This record gives sequence, C-alpha cells and structure tokens, in this order.
Amino acid sequence: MSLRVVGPMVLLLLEYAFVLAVGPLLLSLGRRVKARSQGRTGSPLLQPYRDLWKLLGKGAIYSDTSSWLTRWAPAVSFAALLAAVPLIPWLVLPAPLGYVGDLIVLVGLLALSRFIVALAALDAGSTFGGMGSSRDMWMGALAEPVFLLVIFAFGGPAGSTQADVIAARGVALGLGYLSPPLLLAVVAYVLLLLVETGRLPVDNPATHLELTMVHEAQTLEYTGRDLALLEWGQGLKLALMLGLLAALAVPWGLATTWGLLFLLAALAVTSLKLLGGHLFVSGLETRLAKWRLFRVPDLTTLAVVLAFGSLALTYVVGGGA
Amino acid sequence: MILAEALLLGGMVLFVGGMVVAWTRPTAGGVRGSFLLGSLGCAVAAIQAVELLVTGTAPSLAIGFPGTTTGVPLLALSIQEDPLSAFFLLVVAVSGGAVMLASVGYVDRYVHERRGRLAGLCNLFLLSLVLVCTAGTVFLFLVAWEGMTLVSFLLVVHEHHEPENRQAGLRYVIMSHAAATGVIASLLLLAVGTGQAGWGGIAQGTARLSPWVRDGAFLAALGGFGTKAGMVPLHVWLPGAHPAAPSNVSALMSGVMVKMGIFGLLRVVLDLLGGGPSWWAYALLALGALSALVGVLYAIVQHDLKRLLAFHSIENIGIILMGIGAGLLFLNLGYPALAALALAAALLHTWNHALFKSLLFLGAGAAVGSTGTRDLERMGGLIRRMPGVALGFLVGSLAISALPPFNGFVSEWLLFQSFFAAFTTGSAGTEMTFSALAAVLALTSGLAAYCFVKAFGITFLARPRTPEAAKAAPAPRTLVAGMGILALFCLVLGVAPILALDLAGGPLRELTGTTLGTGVPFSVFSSLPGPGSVSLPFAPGLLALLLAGVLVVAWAFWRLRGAPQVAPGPTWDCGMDRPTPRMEYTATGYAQPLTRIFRDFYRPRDHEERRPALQPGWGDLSRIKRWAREIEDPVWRWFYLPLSQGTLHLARRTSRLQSGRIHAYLAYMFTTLVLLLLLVRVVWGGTP
Repeated sequence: MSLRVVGPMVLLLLEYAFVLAVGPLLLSLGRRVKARSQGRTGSPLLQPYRDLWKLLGKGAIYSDTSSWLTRWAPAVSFAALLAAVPLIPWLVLPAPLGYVGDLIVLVGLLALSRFIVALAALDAGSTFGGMGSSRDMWMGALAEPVFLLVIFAFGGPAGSTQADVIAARGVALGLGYLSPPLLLAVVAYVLLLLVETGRLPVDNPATHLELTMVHEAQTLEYTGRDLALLEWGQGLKLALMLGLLAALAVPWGLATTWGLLFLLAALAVTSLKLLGGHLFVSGLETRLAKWRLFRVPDLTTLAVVLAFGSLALTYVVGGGA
Repeated sequence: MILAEALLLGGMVLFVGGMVVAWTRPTAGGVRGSFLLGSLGCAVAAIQAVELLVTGTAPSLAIGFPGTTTGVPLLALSIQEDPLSAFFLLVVAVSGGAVMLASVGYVDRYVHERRGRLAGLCNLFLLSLVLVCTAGTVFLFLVAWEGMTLVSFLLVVHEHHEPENRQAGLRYVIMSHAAATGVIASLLLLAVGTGQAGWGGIAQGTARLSPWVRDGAFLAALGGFGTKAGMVPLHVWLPGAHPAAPSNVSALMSGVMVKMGIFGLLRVVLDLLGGGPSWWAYALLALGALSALVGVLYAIVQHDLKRLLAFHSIENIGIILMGIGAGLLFLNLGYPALAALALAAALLHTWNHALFKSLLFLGAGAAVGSTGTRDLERMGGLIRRMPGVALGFLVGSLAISALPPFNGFVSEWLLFQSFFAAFTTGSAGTEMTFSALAAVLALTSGLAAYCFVKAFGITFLARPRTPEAAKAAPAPRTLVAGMGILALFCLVLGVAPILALDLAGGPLRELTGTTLGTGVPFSVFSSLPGPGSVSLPFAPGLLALLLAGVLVVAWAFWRLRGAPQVAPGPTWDCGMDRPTPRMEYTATGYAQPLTRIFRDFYRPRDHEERRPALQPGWGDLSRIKRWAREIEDPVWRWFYLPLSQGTLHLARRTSRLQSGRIHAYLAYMFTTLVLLLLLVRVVWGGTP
C-alpha cells in the first residue's frame, strides 16, 4: 500500500489512541478540581484507568427481566461514539477520514448513542432506569436545536458543516477569525456542552441520590465490562465535545503539513486545549449548584437565543475577516 | 415498449385476480392466496417502476376513446407514466407488497369474520393506488382518487361493530370529500384553462394562465391534497381513522396512501404549474413546520400505540412539506440545483417514511393483535414473546428517529443540507428563515427519538404489565417476513442512499430541470452527490463500515479477554425489593417532563380518584387511587366543532326554503338558470 493510504490510517489510529486515553483523564481531572475546591485531596488522576481495567476484567450480572438489548446496548453506544472520532480534526487539517461525515452526522451519532442507552435503561423494568431514560431523552430533544443552530452559526461563514473545513478557515484567517458572532456561538456551545455531557447545573455526575440522577440512573443495572464501556463512553463523549470546541473556537495549532514534529506539536497543543477547556468547565461546575430539572429549558432556550444572535450578528459585523 | 405495458397490466390483473379469489372463495386458503396475489402484483409493478426510472421506457395505454378524436377531450382516459409517477409507484409497490405479504398470516390469526372482504378490498385499494400514480389524464386521476378514498373508507369501517370506528370513518369520509372538492377544483381549473386533459399538455399551457387562476389552483390543491396528506390543521381525520382500521390497512394508509397527497401536490405545484411566487413556498414551509411540531408533540403524549404512530405520520408529512417548500423557494430565487437538493430530500423522505411507517404499523399490529389492546400501559415485555417483531420495530424506531445508519437519517440530513445551502444565496432573510427551520427540524427529530424510546420501551421491554401481555402469542411467520423486507430496505437505503438518489434522478429532472451530482459518477462508498457537480460531506457507506468495523474490533477484544462470566439476577433497582410491573415507568410518566414544560400548549386535564388515606399520617399521596391524564387536540374543539355547528345552523336556516310546494321549486330552478346564464355572460363575455 502506498503512503497515501497508510499515512492517514496510521494517523487515524493515533487519534483513536489519543481520544480513548484522554477521556478517562478528563473525567478524573474534573473530579480533582471539584475535590480541591471543597478542600479535599481527591482521588489520584489515574484512578479512572484502574477502575476501567478492574471492571473490564469482571463478568456481568444481567437482570432476569432484561433481554438481548441490554447486552448489546453498551457496545453499540460505544461504537457510535467511536465512529464520531474521525469527524473532528484532532491533530491535522484536513482530518484523515473527515469526509466520512460532517457535524450533523456527529449529532446523529451522539443521538444514536443516547437512544440505545435510554432504551436499555427501560429493559430491566427498574423505576430509576425509566426515570433516567425519560429525563435524558427529554434533555437530548431540547439540546438538539441548539446543536444545529450552533453548527449553522460556526459553519455559515465557512460555507460548510464539516468541522475540519471550519477549522481550516480559522487557521487561515489567524486572529482575524475572532469576531463577536464567534464569541456568541462559543457561549451557546458551552451551554450545549453542559447539557450534552451531563454537567452541573444540569446533571451531577457525582451524585449518589437516585432521584436527582439523570445519566447515572440509566447505568444502575450494569456491571463489569458493560459498565466499563458506559463509563469510558462518558469520557469519550466529553473528549468529543471538548475536542469539537477546541477545533471550532481555537483552531490554531492544528498541523496543516505532515511531519513528525508538527504532529507532536499538534498533539501537545490539542491536549492542552482539552485539559484547559475541561478545567474551565469544571471550574464553572464548582461555582454552580444543581438546578431543578425543569429549569433546563431555560438553559437551552438561552443557548438557542445566543446561537440565533450569533447568526444575526454576522450580518451586522461580518463573520470574521 | 411492450414489456412495460405488459408488466403494468400484469400487476393490475394480479390485483383483480386477488379480488376475485377473495370474494369467490372467502376460506382461509382463498384469503391467503388473495393476499399473495396482491403481493405479487406489487412486485411486478415495482419492477416496472424501476425499469422506467432506470431506462426511461414508459408504458402508455389509452382506455376507451383516446380523447383527441371525441368531442369531450376532458373525459379522455389514458395511462401515461412519467418519472414522477414511476417514483411514487415504486413507493406504493414496495411498501404495499411487503404489507400484503405480512397480511397473509396476520389476517389468518386475528380477523376471523369478513376476512374475504378485507382481502378483496385490500387488493382493490392497491389497484386504486396504482391507478392514482399512473393516471395520465385529469379525468382518470379523479376517478382513481375517488375510488381510493371510498375503498379506504370501507377499510376504516371494516370493524364497524365498534361505534368509535364508525365515528372515525364518518369523520374521514366527510373530510375526504370536502378535500376532493379542492382536488377537483384545482385540476379542472388547470384543465379547462389550458384546454388539455393530459399532464404533459396542461404543463405546457399553465404559463399562459392568469396569476389569479394559478393562485386559485395552488390553494385548492394545497387544501385538497393537504387533507389527504394529513397536513395541520386539516389533519384531524388521521389520528382517528388510522387506528380504527385493521393494522395491515393502517400500514397501507399511513405508509402509502398519505403519500398520494404529496404526489398530487408535487404534480400540481411543480410539474403542472412549474413553481410559483415565493408566498407559495413560505406557505408550504410554515405549514410543514407547524405539522412537524404539532404532530410530534401530540404523538409523545399518546398511549394508544396506533394513534401515536398516526401522529408521527403528520410529523413526517410536515418534514416532507418543508422539503417541497424549500425546493419551491430555491426555484423562485433562481437556484435550480439547490431546489433539486431540497426536493431530493423530500422525495427520499417520502419513500423512507413509507418504508418505516409500514414497518412500524405492522409491528404495532402484531403487538395489538396478540395482546388485544392498543394501550401502551397494558403491554410490556413483548420482546421475549415476539423477538422478530421487536427487532423490526426497533429498526423502524431507529429509522423514524433519524438515527444513523438508517434511512430516516439520510433524508433528514439532506434536508438539513438544503437548509444550510441557503447560506450560498447571500440573502439575510432567507438564511435566518432556514436556520429557524433547521432548529424546528432538529427539535422534531429529537422529540421523535424521545417518543420512540417510549413507544418501543413501554411496549416491548421490561415485564408484561397485564396477564394478556404475558401470554401474547408469537407473531405469524409471514408477518415477520414482511417486516424483515421493510427493515432491510430501511437499512440498505440508509447505508447506500445513492441507490434511491439514482432512482430519484428522473423525477428531479422533471420537477426542477436539473438533478444531483450531474456528470460525476458516485459509488456506494463515496460522498453523497450534491447540487451541480459538487459532493456533500457525508459518505453513508463509509460511516456504516466504520460502525461495523468498530463493533468487530470490540467483539474481537471481548474474545481475547476471554468470555465473560455471565450470571442472571433480579433487577437491582438500587436495592429496592424486586420491582413489580406496577412499579415500572409508564408511558404517561415517560412523557411527563414534556407535558409539564409545554403545559400551556397541551392543556392537560387530569383525573384523580381518591380514597381515604391508607394509614393516618401517610399524607396525600396514599389517597390517590387512580390518576389519569387526558390531552385532546385543540384544533377539533376550537375549529371543527364550531365549523360543523355553524354549518348545521346554516342548513336549518336554508331548509326554510323547502316549502313543499311545486311552484316554488319551479321558481327556484328558473332563477338559478337565469343567474347561471348571467354568470356565463359576465365571465366569458358571451362565448362559452
């Protein structure tokens, strides 16, 4: 095989390794920030990896009420998230397999992952599972218009819904990419990220009270490897949403030419962006209390207004140089 | 070509054969044979449609007098197919064939009485649908249209011993005939105005018509065909009629017949009139967005499985109408390539909806048939009693929720792309309009996913909620086979939508003058063709490959780590005692977050039944014995009830004219005649 085929494939594998590895780290970083702000030391940064390794070695217990759906759901949900990895430029532009799909495909894959988990949550017939499923799908439905509007707001000036095309425009424009509409779109996206990844004030990933759970309530019946996949999937989803934010809001640092040095630099820059982004989100979380469930529409409505504002503002000031 | 005519006629003869068999030998075997003949007829018709779409050979049959030689050209009857008819014929034939196959065992088990009549009417229904698609002249189209309405009415009231079904049928037949007025008015306006009876002739003459006539024809078509399609606010017949019919008929009506409204609209607005002013497009976009939202919002709060599916038909018709509206607007603005993109989304979604909605109705039919109820709250756990049906329903749910890698996602993705393409027009208003529409479409598909987790989960998962559900009989094999065909189509058109786009090329060229991906070859694994010669940023084949690849890697990893020890156990539920079916989440509870935030829209009426507190101090909650929530469609109460009461009132007033005296009636006739003559004199200036 020629270098033209092998090169992108190697790069893609590298990206997969990076995203899979960084997901759990993001989760533990968030916990660490919260612990520190509460005066605790918190668990070691590598704890999630140990947890995953332990869980992956364990067998599983399935409720005798459940069906084949329960057994397949974690793998399918994880696969949907993995399939979304090539849609985002992590290291180089254009993304090695970026032509597979655009950001609307990404929305579809995230929805598929959510749909399957929500179905499986109903499978065991537990009340908490049903509650989490209903709430998660409800929030997902409210978040979907925000996602599309944000895509339109970012993509409109670039004339494309593809993440690497939008990022490439940003890299080419340099600091001229920054503009008031971009800022509004970024704020809308951050609100969306809070809802999509189940962060405070929408959902508390560290809660132990079943009645306030949203995402966690859906995984209550899972054990062993399946639980590992679901937890890992949460980290993966966080990495995807942050990676997209990094690519759309601060695309600088992505390599535009191939070369080992460029790749290493891009790897360092992207890691910094993800960690920095998550530090910001976690910092935000420590300043917020969990909202009542029925205030979530306020948040999504605000995000819709901001995204629309970004679109409208483009005509007033132009979408960057 | 002789072959095309032979295929089309052969298909029709098979339908007639199915009718004859069912009516002369209404035994179990005869009924089965009748359904099989219908299924075969659909297969033959599908082959003919594909032949036309691929090679362009159109059958042409003149029935009776060929019109041009007689003095009444408007009465000409002929069958004349163009790519648009062939595409809709294909839509009818694929879903119709699978549904007829599924009916073979379904009817055997569930409908004992009058099943011969049911089988015969189903064949007649398909014949009328095929004729609606292939009619080449106004008159034959109207005859077939009326036949389709009447036969479907008979099918809706098939189980007429239920008063509810009779009422739904009555509502349906009245609204259909009110709508037929619009269809007739629209087509006659065009036919009389151009002096032509065939589609081709009319299309050439409409440019010369006055804007008033064109606007009139558009509005009449919108009302007439819109009612058949189930467009809000003309939708009120649909949620009643589809559940009332036997489930295989619901699959035909919701999957196929509703699409004839879309067909008629495309035929009149784009083919015959060739597009129009921008307010037509905005009207379609607004009505489409309204239908999509209202449809899905009411679907979520239903706990009657078939009613829920019926409301989703309204939603999907809304999505299709948005596509047509976008196409019309792009044509009006002078972007035929973008119009082709929007209309490709509309056409594809039409076919996709026909596939997954038939699939879902067949699954619902199996569930309803074996549990004896349509109420979601009385089902549950059916995945173990009927695994094949559950898998089919799951595929349908994924497809209708617009999730990859199924067909519903592709057509909605294309529609999003056509909305996004508004950014190339450079007009701020257009861009903002389409951004808002994209938000509406996204909310709609998100809510559809919410609804289908509920529909699938409450029906098929967890433990049976009633003894009937626990004893549900497994589904007949032909039913599972019919669902399997439809599910396979949903997957194939999701992985390789290029096949459907290729078939839609002919209709697109006919409607917009251009098509997608002109002059560039596209394969299953390449990106989708876009407007002009560019390609769109989505390669569904590759995405499916990626998904499958990741799953295979995960599976191999599983194997490498050794087979996991799997143990069964009770549902944990955070350490509660083993949960009973009464503790499972209900359909009403599942939708509660939404009914709460849209309280002002739904205006739910809650019914509570109370009893004395179980123990003193246990508080208010233990006193509620039963709790039910009722939500009704306000359109009926605030629009149709006043309308019908007003009509009755007016009729009573008018009935005073009927004095019973002959000379009074003669006077009426004379006055009417004079008035008509005056009208003719004024309108046509003395030359009729």
